[in-house]
Amino acid sequence: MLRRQLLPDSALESLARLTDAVRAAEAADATWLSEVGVHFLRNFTTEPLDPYLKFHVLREDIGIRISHGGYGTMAQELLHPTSDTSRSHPEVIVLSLLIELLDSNVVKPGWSHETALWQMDDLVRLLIERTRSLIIANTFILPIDLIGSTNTDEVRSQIEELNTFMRQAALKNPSRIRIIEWDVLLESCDTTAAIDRRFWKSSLAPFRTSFLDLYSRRIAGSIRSLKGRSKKCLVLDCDNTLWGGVIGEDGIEGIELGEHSDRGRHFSAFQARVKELRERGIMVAVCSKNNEEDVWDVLENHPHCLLCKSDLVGWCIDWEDKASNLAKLAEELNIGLDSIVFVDDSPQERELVASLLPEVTVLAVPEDLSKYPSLFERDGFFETLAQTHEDQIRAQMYQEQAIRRSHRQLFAELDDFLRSLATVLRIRRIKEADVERVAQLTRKTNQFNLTTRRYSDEQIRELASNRDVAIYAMAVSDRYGDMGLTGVFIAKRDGATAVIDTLLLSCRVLGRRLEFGFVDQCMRLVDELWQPEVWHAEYILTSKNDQVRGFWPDVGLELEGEDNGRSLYRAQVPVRRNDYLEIMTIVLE
Amino acid sequence: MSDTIRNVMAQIFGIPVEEISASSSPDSIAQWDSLKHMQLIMALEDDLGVEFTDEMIPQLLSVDAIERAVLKLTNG
Repeated sequence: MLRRQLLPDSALESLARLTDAVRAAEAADATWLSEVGVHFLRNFTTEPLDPYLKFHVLREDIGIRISHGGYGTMAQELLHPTSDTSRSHPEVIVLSLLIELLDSNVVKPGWSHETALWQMDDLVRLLIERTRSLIIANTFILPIDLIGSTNTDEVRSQIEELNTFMRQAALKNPSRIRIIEWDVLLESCDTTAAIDRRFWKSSLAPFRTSFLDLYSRRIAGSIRSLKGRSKKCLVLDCDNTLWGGVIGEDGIEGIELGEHSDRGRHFSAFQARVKELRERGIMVAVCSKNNEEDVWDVLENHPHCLLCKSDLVGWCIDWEDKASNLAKLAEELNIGLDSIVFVDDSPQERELVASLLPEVTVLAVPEDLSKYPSLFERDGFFETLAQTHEDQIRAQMYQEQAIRRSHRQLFAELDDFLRSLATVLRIRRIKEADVERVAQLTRKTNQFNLTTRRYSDEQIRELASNRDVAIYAMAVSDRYGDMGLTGVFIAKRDGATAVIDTLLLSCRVLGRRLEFGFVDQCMRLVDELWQPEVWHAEYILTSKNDQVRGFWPDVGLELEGEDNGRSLYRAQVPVRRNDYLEIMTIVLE
Repeated sequence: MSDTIRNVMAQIFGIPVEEISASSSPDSIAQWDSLKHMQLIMALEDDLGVEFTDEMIPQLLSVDAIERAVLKLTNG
C-alpha cells in the first residue's frame, strides 16, 4: 500500500482522522525516498502545524522529523553552539514569526518598523552565515488582535516596509531563502475565519486548521523541490478545464474563452499560468476525450487560446480511458507517474485516475473559477530551487526507478472502478417535458451519433405522437450526481421491420459501456411493442463520429451494404449483450 | 456521542479506544498534555460540529465533561 493511499484528501477534513492517517503512514512498511529534518525557529505556538506538514510531506514518501525551538529565542539558538539548531543541522529551518511577539510596541500608535527590521536583519545574517539550511520565512501580518479592526493603515504600511526587506533578502539569497506570503494565505482562508482567538489567548496558537493546512502546503512545496521531488509534467483535460463548455457540442464559437464572459476570462487567466509554467520548463500535455481535430481547432484557431499545439510535449486525445492514457504518456515521456499533476473537471475521471494510478497528483477545477488561475500556487508543485549536484543525480535515479503501470494490469481494475460508480440508467418513452432536451441533443451531439439526424422541437413532438415511432430517452446518474438526459434512441416501424433512425449519447457519459445497456434495453422495449421480425440500422459517416464506426457490429448486427459513407446493418433476431449488467443498474420508467 | 468522543481521543492520543473510559483524564492518559488538549478540542469541534467557549475548554478533562458541554451547546 502506498503511503499516498493512506493519506487521502478526505483525511484533511477531520483533525482526528488526519492524526490517525499520519500515524499509519509513518508506520507503513513502504520505502522512504528521502528524509528531511525541519526545525521551527518561532515566537508563537507552531506545534499544531505538525500533522498537516507531515501529511503533505509523507505523501511524497519523504520521511520528516520536526522540532520546534524555544519561544522568541531564535537568535540565541543560532548563536549558541550546543543548541538543538546548531547541533542537529536541520536541512530546513522555518522561521515562523508574529510581529507583536517580536516588538510589542507594534500595537501602539506611531510605531515604526526599524527595531523589528534590525532584529530581522541580524537573524537573516545569522541564518545565512551560521547554517546551511534552507530558510523558509513568512511575511508579517497585522498583530492578531488588530485583524478585523479598522484604522490599521499606519501599522500596515510600516509592516509592509519590513516585508519588503524580507523579500529583498530572499532575492539576494535565492537558493537559501524562501518567502511565504502570509497575507495571501490569510485571504484564502477569509482572514477572520483563519484566526482562533480562544487558543491565541490561552496558548499563543492563533491559527485555525484552514490556515495551518495552507501554510503546511507551502512549506511542503519547498521541501519537495529541495528534495528534487517537484512535479515535472502538467496534464490537462480540455473541456471545462482549458475552456468553458464542450468543444464537440458547443463548437468553437460556443466555448467560453477570453474576454466575453467571466468564465471565459478565468479560463484565459488559467491558460496564461500554464503558459508561464511551460516557459519555466515544466512539461505540459493534454489528455482529453475528444476528436483530435476539435482540440487542435481551438488551440490553433481560437483567438483567445494562449496555448498552442507546439507548447505540448505530448497528448492523448481519443476515447480511451484516462488511466491507460496517462500511463502511456508517462512511458513516452520517460517520467514517473509520481511526477504528474493531472487536472480535470470531471469527478468520475479524477476518481478513475486516483484509484488506478494513486501516484498521480489529481486536482479538480475549483467550483469558484476565480480561484482557478492560482490553483498551482497552493501546493507549489512546480516550485524550483537551485539544486545541488547530488540532488540532481538523485532525482534522475528516481526517474529511472519510477513506477510504471502496464495497460493489462489496469484493465481488470477498470471494471471494478466502473462498478464502483454505481451508475443508474433511467430509460423512458419520452413525454412532452422531454421534447426540448431530446431535440437539443439531436442537434448538439456529434461524436457518439450513429446517423446525425437533426430535429427541431416540433419535429420531435410530431414523431413522438406517431404510433409507428418510438422515442426513448436515457437519464444517467451515479455516485457523483445526476447527469440528466444524455441519450436518445428513435425507432420507426416499417411493416415487420424496426428501423433505428437515431442513436446518440452525450460525450459526458461515454467510456462506461452505457451505450450497450441503453441500446439493448430499447431494442427489448421495441420488441415488446411491435414484435418486429427484422432490425435495420445505419451508420452515416461524418467528420466527427468516426469512433462509432464499429458500433453496430459490436452490438451484433450484420453489415448489409455500404454506399457513399452510409452503411446499412440488419439483424434477424433481437440481439443481446449482457456484459454491461454488472456495471450499471437499469430502471425502466 | 460518548463513542465519538472516545474515538476522537483514541485517534488524537494514539491509544486504543478500549483504554479510554468515561473518567479517563490527563492524569490517567500520559499523552494528554496541553498541546494534545488543544488538538483534542479542535478535533472534537471538527467531528461534532460545535465550538466550545473559552471558559469551557480548560474544564473538558474527561469524556463525561465533554459530553455534558456538548449537550449544553446543542440544547442551549
